Amino acid sequence: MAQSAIVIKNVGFTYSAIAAHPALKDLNLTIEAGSFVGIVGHTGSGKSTLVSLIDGLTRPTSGTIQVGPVVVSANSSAKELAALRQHVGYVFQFPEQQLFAETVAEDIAFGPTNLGWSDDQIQQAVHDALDLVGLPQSMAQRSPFALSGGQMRRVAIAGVLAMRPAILILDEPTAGLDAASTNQLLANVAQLHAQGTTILLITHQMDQVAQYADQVVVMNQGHLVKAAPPQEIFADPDFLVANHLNLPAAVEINRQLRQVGVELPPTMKMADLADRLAARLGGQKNE
Amino acid sequence: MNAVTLTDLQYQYPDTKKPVLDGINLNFPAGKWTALIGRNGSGKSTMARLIDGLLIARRGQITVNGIPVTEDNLTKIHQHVGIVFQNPDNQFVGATVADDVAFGLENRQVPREEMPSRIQRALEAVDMAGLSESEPTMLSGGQKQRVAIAGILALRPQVIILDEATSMLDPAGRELVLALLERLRDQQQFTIISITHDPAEMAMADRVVVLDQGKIVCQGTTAEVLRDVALLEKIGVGIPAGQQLRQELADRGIAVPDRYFTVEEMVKWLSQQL
Repeated sequence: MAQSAIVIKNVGFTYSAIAAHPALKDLNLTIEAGSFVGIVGHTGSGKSTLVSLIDGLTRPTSGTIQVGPVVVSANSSAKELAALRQHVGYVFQFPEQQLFAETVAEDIAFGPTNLGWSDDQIQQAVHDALDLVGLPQSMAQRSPFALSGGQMRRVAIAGVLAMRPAILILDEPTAGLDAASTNQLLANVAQLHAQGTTILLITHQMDQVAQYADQVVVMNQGHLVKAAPPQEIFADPDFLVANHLNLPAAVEINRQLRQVGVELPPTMKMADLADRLAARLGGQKNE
Repeated sequence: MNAVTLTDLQYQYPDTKKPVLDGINLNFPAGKWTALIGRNGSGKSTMARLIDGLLIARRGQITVNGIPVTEDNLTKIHQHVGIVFQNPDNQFVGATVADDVAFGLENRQVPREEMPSRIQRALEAVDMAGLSESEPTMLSGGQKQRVAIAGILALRPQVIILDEATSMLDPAGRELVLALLERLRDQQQFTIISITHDPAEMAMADRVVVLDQGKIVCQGTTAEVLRDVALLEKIGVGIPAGQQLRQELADRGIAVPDRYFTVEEMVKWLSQQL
């Protein structure tokens, strides 16, 4: 059986005693090691609260969160929360806004240096992290502020990857990037996943979820509404609409075709939809 | 009539080796919505800042409604051009929504008695009149961007530039802002220039201009420009869904007409074939 990377049991979270509604309610979720999880839901649904608990940025109000061997609850110490963070890397939205060092290498080295790694280990970590995000080693001595937006984003992500987290959380990692940079970044993430990193991707881009995720967690008003494979989630357009989610383009086109009487099996990806359509169109030509 | 003209425009940032814009000749027709697309770093935002006079070109000429954009004309230019930037949180100055819109009017020394009606009308135009006394922290990103647009509408500019104004919004916020742009376009009182990576947003424009490495590589009506999927792929910008499917089918040997397809047109064509 696959090992569980994250086990969340009966977790509730309220931001403050005076908050009218809890941000998370009685949440149960198990994420297997090595999965690629898409976390979706409209703004304010609890996505970011959920991942900040997984990253040990705050304590649950009730319930327990287990990440690797570490378990935290409402009474956990700051040290226990820090232990949890050792397993998790969190790439915030627009992470390039947090770049600060004079060179790319110094910026990426910041995390490993804080962890007390040796100079050799740090150098190796910087080298590997640049490779992982697809940036040339020659960039190490340049100023991060002289790079393009897409490159700066990748430097910021490299800074998180340098600490070699087993679990990587990405919050809207492609916001503001052009299509080519988006595809390149997602290909890098897919490669990390293939090498064994557990990926948690928060996004509004359902096409990215359909393309890459093997599990989808749907949040709405602090509740985990559904956790299921994308095939199951995207086969039900009404469910997506009810949870304020967009449809992946191929699902939307499939839905519109059905409305005009063209019935096709559910498809999540444009290439699969094109395969099915081409078979039908080609088949007709041969008749 | 052209609202904005760029002639032989070149711009280079200090301490860089290459101009970020070079040999640009471009017109933005009055009353139309033009989408400016291209990769990060292709010069789109620089162009927006040059049109508004936030940057001044050393070579070439820009005119807005016939007025040359020069340091001497900046006050006039700022009356004609309004820019909405990417981050909704960096643009709010007022303590309430109405105050925020008033801020721009005060700067332009609009007479006090005129202000309430102008603020009211601008907030109505963006569907935010009901929240005029709300504090900015109470607003969603989409609401903040609409207030930013109201602040510009209240100044009655002819040209509105949106520099990736929807890129930090969630889908609901983005839809609200894009619906607003469609309404403004239909009124035809404004020339809209939107800088975007969002294929759905480009598809809504009347015209599309493609920038690559500081040069214009393609421009025309939306249908003309978005027809060329090979070019869009080569440059690395997003491709609208209808065109993606058209290309996937063509790649599989299906004879799809060589023109621009929206999703709706693609669905219609397929339903006729099947």
